[in-house]
Amino acid sequence: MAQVLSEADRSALAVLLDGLIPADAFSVGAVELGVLAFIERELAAGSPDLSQLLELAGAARTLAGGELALASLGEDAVAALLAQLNAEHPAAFELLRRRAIEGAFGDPSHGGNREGAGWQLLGYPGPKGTFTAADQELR
Amino acid sequence: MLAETGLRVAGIEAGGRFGADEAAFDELANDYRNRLGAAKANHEVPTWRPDPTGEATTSYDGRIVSLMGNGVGGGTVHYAGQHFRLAPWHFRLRSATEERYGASALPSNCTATDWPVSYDDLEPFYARVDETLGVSGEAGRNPFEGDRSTAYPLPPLRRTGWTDLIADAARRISLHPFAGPAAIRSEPHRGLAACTYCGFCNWNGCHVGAKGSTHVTAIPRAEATGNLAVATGARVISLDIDAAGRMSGVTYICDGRVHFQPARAVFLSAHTLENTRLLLLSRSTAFPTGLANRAGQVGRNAMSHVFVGVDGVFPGRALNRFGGTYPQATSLDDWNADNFDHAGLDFVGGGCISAIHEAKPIQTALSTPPSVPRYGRAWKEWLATHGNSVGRLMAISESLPYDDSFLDLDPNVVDATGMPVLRMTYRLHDQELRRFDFLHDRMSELLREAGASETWTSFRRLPAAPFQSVFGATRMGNDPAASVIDAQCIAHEVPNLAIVGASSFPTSGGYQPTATIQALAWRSAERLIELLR
Repeated sequence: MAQVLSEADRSALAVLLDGLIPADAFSVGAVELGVLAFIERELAAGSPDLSQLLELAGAARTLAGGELALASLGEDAVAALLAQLNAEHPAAFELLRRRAIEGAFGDPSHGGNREGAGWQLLGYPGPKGTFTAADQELR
Repeated sequence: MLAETGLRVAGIEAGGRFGADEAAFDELANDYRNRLGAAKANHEVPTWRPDPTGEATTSYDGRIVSLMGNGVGGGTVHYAGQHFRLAPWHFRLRSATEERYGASALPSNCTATDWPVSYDDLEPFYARVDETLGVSGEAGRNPFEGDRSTAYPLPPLRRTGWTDLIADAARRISLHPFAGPAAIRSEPHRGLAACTYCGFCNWNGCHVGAKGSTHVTAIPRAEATGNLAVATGARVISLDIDAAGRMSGVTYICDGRVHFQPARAVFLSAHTLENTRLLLLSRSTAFPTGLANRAGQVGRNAMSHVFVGVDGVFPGRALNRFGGTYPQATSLDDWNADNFDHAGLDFVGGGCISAIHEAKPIQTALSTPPSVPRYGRAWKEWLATHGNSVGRLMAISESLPYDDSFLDLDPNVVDATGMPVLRMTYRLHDQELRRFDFLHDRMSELLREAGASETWTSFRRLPAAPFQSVFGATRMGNDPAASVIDAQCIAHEVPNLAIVGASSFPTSGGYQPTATIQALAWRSAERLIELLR
């Protein structure tokens, strides 16, 4: 698979994605879920997202004060950075949020949602050909 | 119908043929990347602008917005399968509105007309469609439905905890819930399979062929006569006429070569968007602005359904809506058509409300209440706590045509083959906005009555429209100066051209259109047979 993102852009997006979907008691974080891998697969297949993703990665580095500073931000600082990106780059931010959710909760065959961890978080049992009456009861 | 009469029919389809084994339990590929439109529709996304003076754009946040798919069976391959007949009122919206509320109840720029057919005209055809597809439902429970000559061929889809919860709540506040009709078989019918409630109807083909999709129902039946031959991967590029201005056939591209299919008559049934585009692209000396467009009506009076979605959270309850089909619903017509008094409301019509199944994980994660952050720790915790406790109501709202809503060819944007894409000029008018808000409020009340602690908008009104539900543009009518086709869907200006689909609708109706499209097509086929005799 052709690598579309530079290492600097990969690592910037990784910080943002793990801020959007952080590791916690419910699941691993976005990168470990495969969300970045999912996004890179779509980029390699020609998705039109690249310019907006690069816009966000570049803005994140600038706001954080460089590549190294971005990579070493603590959780609260990442949250503040995301809020600022959301305010200043709303379209690109919403695109990244959507792709994060698609990667985390989409079918694992696309590279994200590793081992169905996103589905387990939601209480979704995963796809199956038949749902029974008992499966559809209220509990 | 045509093939069984003995006519030889050539079906020309741009997409392929999707077998049941090609159905995919894959929300991302189906719902968010429109896998079934990869052959064509995804590469010719219409542009949009809200008003006739603005620039049209192709920007929809980089998403493909609810396009059609391509393939034998068309939209019925990937439709959800709710199968409503229009109510008798929908066919006479203008006259019924003026009788009850006065001539000013519709705005002066609204171009809505009565349909040139009535519910009673269509009822026998609705009944034939029900039997052919194997429609599941519950006759007699909806006090607002039109008279039926036959019962539903099959009992309703299975009731569930969620559908019972909403039905009970609706009865407590004096509404009239019923099991929504579905072109999905609750039991085997005519040798075709029954539903397994997998939860992947929408934007997907059925993995056991239990939907009423025409590629497993009507088309194989027609092929069995030996009179229907379907070409796939065959993209029509023009509709052709002879020296007398009658259809001579169609030109299409298949395997990179141009072919001509001669015909005594042509049945154009390519979805509202492609019906309109092909007519506008088929220019000739006789029809300089597009086939059947001497009156300048092709593309006019376009409209869209407005989808209204409200979600509610039921803390501590596992609703288990992930399995099951979208149409496995409790539905309500109390706020549809003229089933309630509109005095003082400043809109007409309404929409059918359904409590649906087929929740999916991406969709669930995208719809959280505004009181919760949209990402991060608190968002995740909310999803983990409540992801299986969210109930969804959906309504399909009526919308009306206006003099500034239309489809034409985009002057600047072409598809991959160099043909202009369509441009949609459309905005939601005041009536549509008020109707949305009204339905939204009724849906929120119902969810709260059922026990929701918080409700929010899951489907907001879009500035444009979800493109799979576009109506009008080749509308039917008795006046050739104000419509494109007659009451039998035959073009006023071309006697051997039938144009079928939601493009024929004078108003959108407050339901999914497919049952009505199919009934109209069947009726049109009967007329065409008479004309060809």
